[in-house]
Amino acid sequence: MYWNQQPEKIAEFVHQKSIEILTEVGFCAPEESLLSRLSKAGFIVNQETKMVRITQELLEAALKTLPKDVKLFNRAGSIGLDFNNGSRFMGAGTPVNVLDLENGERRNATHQDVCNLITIQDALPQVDIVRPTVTATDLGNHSDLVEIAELARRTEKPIVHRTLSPERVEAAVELLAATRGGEEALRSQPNFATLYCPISPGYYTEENIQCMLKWAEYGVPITLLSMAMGGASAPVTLLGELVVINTDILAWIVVLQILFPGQKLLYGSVSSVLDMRTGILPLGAPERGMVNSGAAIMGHYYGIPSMCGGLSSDAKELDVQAGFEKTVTAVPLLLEGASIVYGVGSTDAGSEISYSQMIMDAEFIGGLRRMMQGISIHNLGEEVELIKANTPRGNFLKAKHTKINYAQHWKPEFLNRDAYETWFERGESLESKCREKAKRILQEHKHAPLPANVEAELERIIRRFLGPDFGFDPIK
Amino acid sequence: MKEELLEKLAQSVIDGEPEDAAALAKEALDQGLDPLECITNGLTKGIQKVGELFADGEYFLPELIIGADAMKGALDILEPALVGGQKREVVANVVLGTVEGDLHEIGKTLVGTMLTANGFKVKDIGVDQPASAFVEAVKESDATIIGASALLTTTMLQQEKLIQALEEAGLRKNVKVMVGGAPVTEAYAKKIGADGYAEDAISAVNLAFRLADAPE
Repeated sequence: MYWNQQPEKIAEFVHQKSIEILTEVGFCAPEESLLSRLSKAGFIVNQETKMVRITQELLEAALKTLPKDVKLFNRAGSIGLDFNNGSRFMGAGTPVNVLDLENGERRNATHQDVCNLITIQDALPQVDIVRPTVTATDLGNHSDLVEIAELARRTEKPIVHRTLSPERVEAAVELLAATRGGEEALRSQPNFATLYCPISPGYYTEENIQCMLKWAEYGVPITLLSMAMGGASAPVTLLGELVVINTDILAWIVVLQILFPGQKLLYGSVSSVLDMRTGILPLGAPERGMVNSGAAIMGHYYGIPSMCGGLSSDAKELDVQAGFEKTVTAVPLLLEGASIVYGVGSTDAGSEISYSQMIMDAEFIGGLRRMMQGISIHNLGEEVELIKANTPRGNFLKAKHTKINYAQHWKPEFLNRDAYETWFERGESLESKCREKAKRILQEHKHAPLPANVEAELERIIRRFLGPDFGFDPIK
Repeated sequence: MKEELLEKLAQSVIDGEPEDAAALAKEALDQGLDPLECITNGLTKGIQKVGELFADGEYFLPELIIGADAMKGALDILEPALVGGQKREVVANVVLGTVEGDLHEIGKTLVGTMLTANGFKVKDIGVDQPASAFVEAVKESDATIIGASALLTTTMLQQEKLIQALEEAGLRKNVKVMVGGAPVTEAYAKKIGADGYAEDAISAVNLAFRLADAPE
């Protein structure tokens, strides 16, 4: 247990405070048609201020229809990610910059980077859920649809993304449905979830509201993703910030359940606290892992998967800062059982994705997962006999028991355990090893292909919505 | 008596007490003190001290912001009382806002506070402001610097539109444009023809000094 109280007690406390805020003050929903729908449904709506308050009855009804068994599936719809057996890891996203694979320099990310980074996530067994992780800046305002199509084509793993405008949702659903043999599979065994951020406290933009309502019409899972900044857009204390996070999310759990009963939702938080020196939002701060572990607790409380920002850092390169911050922001999430840890590949407060960091993060995930196994109590009969037989000064390396059981120890791929001289003679940096691996993946890894007719259909859909110049494959 | 009041004014800014600052400003006017002297030898001294403490790592943003807030409250009382040709000395007039389609407020406001604390006069036009609103504000305020914030990859394009609008209004050569926000980079700023880019509020102040051609 990580917080100094039982998680259920914390959750109940925070939940009650959110109810107080949502019934007394409410939240702002600047979307005309939604306001009248909410008013009809029993919400207390102020048309002038666009403030909406909930009632106890609405809350109860919403929590009753909120689906508790939300899973994300593979593209075939055959395997659902189990969120009850340790945290799952997801690519970060989606800044406009990338640290170049060849020279590590910061530059605008392109369509090519999107394809590369999807392929790397597809290849890394430690990554469970794939994001484009960067924005294809060479595609301008059309990046969202192409990114969704590339996700759907280049990996069988569950994928997460969003559209930039509500008009795009229909096209995105068409693309996704084409890879699933129809909309029904997308709804019943979703391999895709979307995400939208409120501006905390208590506000979603008109456009984001329209996007969410549109996705809900198709029954696609939506992540309500708080991005609170403690000390700026939320109270500076972590518990106070958690109340803001929860209030923003609970408000829209109620809205979406009342309008679309049974709509699948995820509880998301990529929050942190404002750095009081620079005014940036540091994503490597211990507080980042701490406050988002609160979101994991709340996700458990409502019975929906939590998507929590962590395994993140403010480092500008693959260095000791990155190592410390990645770990310190991941551990609280793992301890509180976050369903999804959202951060693979991210660096510099989320401003860039780094190829080498993405590879290194996979290494960290391996070690962290091992750490989380803890020491299990088991029948020690064999070990005790072995100890007796080897006392004194025996050698356990010769024992069969060792050969059978050593596999459970974690074996790093990149972290160095060589003797000093070996290490010195090889002269390889972690950075160069990670870059080599990324390049090797890009050369060798083949994603599971879609049937040719589906590929052609995706291309047709893209062109129909974006024009004849758009297509796939900066590289085949 | 006068010295004591000026010192108290300065201290109210250093301690970050907006109510005290406003009350002291009123008291000073009631006692017939020169408002310009209250600003120069009271408030400005206070905010300079706040800036020093921040630079020394003793103060952090909360002290800075509430200090600037205290200063602003007192200025609102003292400035209207200036007589004749009296004018508060400012480094430069700045128009600040978040571009159209973007509702992000905090970073922009922080830059405004930091500029105020460093002697700039800031007209904050708020969030979701079309290029035309920036243009109008420049005309009204004789600003020589514009700060335009965008936090979304979709809205940063509005920063370019703003520069075009300034060209069209014939104002481009009168004002320097600085841009900022999470997705914005130095290269992007150059590409759209902005005069400068700052990554955070502190570098925004340094940039503004450079753009105003004033010593930092």
